[in-house]
Amino acid sequence: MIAGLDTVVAALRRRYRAVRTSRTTAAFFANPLNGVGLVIVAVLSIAAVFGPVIAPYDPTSQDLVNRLQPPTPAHPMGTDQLGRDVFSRLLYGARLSLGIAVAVTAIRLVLGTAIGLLAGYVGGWLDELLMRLVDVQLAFPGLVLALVVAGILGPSLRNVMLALAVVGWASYARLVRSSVLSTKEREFVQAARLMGVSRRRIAVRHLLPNVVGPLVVLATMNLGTVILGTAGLSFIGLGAQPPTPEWGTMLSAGRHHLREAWWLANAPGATIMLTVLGFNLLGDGLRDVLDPTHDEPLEKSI
Amino acid sequence: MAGSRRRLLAGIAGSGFACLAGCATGNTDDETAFTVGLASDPTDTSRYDNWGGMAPYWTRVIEPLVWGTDDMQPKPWLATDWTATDDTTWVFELREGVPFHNGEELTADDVVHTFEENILTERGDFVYGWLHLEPGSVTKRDEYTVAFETTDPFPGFPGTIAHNMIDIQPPAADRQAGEIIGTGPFTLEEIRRGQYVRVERFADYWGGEPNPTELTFRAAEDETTRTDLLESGEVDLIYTPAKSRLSSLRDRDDVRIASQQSTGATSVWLNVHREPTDDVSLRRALNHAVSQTELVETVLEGVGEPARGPISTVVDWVDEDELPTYERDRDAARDLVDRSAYDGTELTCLVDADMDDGKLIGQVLQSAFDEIGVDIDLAVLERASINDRTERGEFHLQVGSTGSNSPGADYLMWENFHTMGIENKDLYEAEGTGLYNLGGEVDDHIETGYQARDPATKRDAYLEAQRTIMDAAVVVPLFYQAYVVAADAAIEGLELHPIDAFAEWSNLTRTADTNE
Repeated sequence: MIAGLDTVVAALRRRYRAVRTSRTTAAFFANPLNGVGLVIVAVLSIAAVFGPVIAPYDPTSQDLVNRLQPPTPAHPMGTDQLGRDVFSRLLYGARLSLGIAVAVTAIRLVLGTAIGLLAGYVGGWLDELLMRLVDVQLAFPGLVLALVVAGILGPSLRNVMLALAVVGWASYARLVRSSVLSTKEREFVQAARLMGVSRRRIAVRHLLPNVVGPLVVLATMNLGTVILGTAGLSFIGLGAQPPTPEWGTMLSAGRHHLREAWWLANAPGATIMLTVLGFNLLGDGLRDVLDPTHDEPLEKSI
Repeated sequence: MAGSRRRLLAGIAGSGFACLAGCATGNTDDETAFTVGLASDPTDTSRYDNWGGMAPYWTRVIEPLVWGTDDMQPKPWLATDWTATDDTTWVFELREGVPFHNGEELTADDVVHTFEENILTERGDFVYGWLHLEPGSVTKRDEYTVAFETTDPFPGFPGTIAHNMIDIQPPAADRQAGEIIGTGPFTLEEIRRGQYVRVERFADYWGGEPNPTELTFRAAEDETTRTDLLESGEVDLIYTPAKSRLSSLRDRDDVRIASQQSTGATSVWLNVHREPTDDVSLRRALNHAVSQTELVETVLEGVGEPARGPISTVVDWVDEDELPTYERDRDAARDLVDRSAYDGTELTCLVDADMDDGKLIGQVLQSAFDEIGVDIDLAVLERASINDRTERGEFHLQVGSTGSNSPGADYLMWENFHTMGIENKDLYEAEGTGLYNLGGEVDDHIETGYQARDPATKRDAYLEAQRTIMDAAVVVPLFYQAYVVAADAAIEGLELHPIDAFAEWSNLTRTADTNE
């Protein structure tokens, strides 16, 4: 048993050494900002996962007597209009924001990849049809379209997720299609086709792996914009419903107290800013190592 | 050369800003000119009550026949007297020698024209039920006497027409073209859409020449912006400053704060025809869960009065001392919950997204109800969505307000609590239910109060109805609303009214020494 564990540990160490000394890792850390992005995202992820353990208070627990208290050791980021601990609400909010960002990005990724793959590989009228759909989608300002969708569906976080998901897949579709168009004419794909490999297998085993790098980069940078979009929609009342501790909602409530309780708006505002910055830096870093030839912006921001 | 071009551009830019500032705020150098920051846009033409591009409220350009006293009684205004000659006929005597802004004198013809053309014909159905009048029911008796034939006995008629919307204008006024001619102490001079309404002193005003030479009513719907405008000196007076800044404003020597209880009251309205809020034990438990005093002192920053009934105490037939009291008592509340049919399901509580402090109040209530074991889901929705839900009765609780813009406040009882009131009628007729109507003796008391000409009879009947309503805990009263006005400390002579739009500006003055 112990011998088995030692084997696993040794393997992990070897893997760690390989990663640490690899050219990819070196390329990533060559720019210190990439490391900053990684650290920010890592800290936020830890905060999101372990938020309920770290948070000193229940995020919805009210204490009206101690409302609008400035930051103190007991309340590191002060208290809000209902005496709730702002730090605890931010930690719980991290779970929500990151969870939504991952879910929305996953939906966009799957939807956009499937459409792009289909359009690029099948071609013909289907390609025309799907790409015009992409053009239509990209013709609308993303956040405005999301606002319309969320407005029609009604205020809730679930509807915000849907709204953001349906407006952001087109960038993925375009990226995947262009990659598939160039890859499908290469010799190894032709060879696979001549060997009688099925179209589905060619698509999954030969075409998709070639676009994974740019997709990961786009998805990483997308996480930041989704967080920004969620906060924006919640800020105007279309997202989280009270008392849900969501960053955009907290920012909205805090804006009325900018003078006498600066921490109310600044704490969630700074957190949103740091989070988006973190994902953008991380995305840039990943692009450096996964898509080094790229020099155009991958993403149409929402 | 380059330097002179820069100076020229800077000069143009500076002049542009100066012009913009001048346009936006009016002539603030004039000691007798005042700028008022309003919480709603006085030029909003999308409002149903916008007369020819100008909201009829606050500006005092136009006037009704009847005004309201501070204790919400009808007060002679353009009409000096009125008499009910039978159950459905009201005869009004007009004040003689009242000039319109165009120099013509107010006569019975103007009153008939205003009611028949501007109000009944133009506004249609919605005013029929409100005023109990139909086209053809207003007739001239003589040059200064007008008769109104109501569709049914309506003793509250004089108080009901004491409303800014029921203003008198002559046939010469082309309101659709923005030409508004009234009898008020100020004449309309300029409307700048989305920005302001500017009025000037009417020297021939029948009530005596007002002090201010000019008033500018500026739209400043965001409370923070409004408060900033006051602090920067761009406006002289604002309605409803940001609550979060009230304490700092109170500490300032150069700002004067005044507050006035209004006709509004905010409560949690409980749907008595839907399970489980149809259970009186649960409704009483919810009443025992809330501390109105705490709510007012914390969330409302002391603006308002803790309520014990559903209607503001500025209305003369309300006496909260006569109503059953529910103190906060969580143990009693939990016992009542245990005895009720409540099974732990989540109750839906509607909150209007535009309601001042609505989200905060909703969360305080949610926490208070959670303490006694009642789980509620807050649904913060736009007004239209709330109407949709309430029309179908698809909610348990609603945080809502009721209030009156005229001294005729009888409708607060009728529309909210009578089975045939606007809140309950459709569901009653469709399903035999309603929302807040207990029916039976409550309907009887409301009908008695509504038809009473004797104030004591009206008061007794309405009090009896309110007692029954509160005993059955149809609402959880929260607070009687108040509004705050913050002004430059140099300004004196502001007279506030329980109906905020009835504010009197004629005596405004600015003391020179404080302004320097």
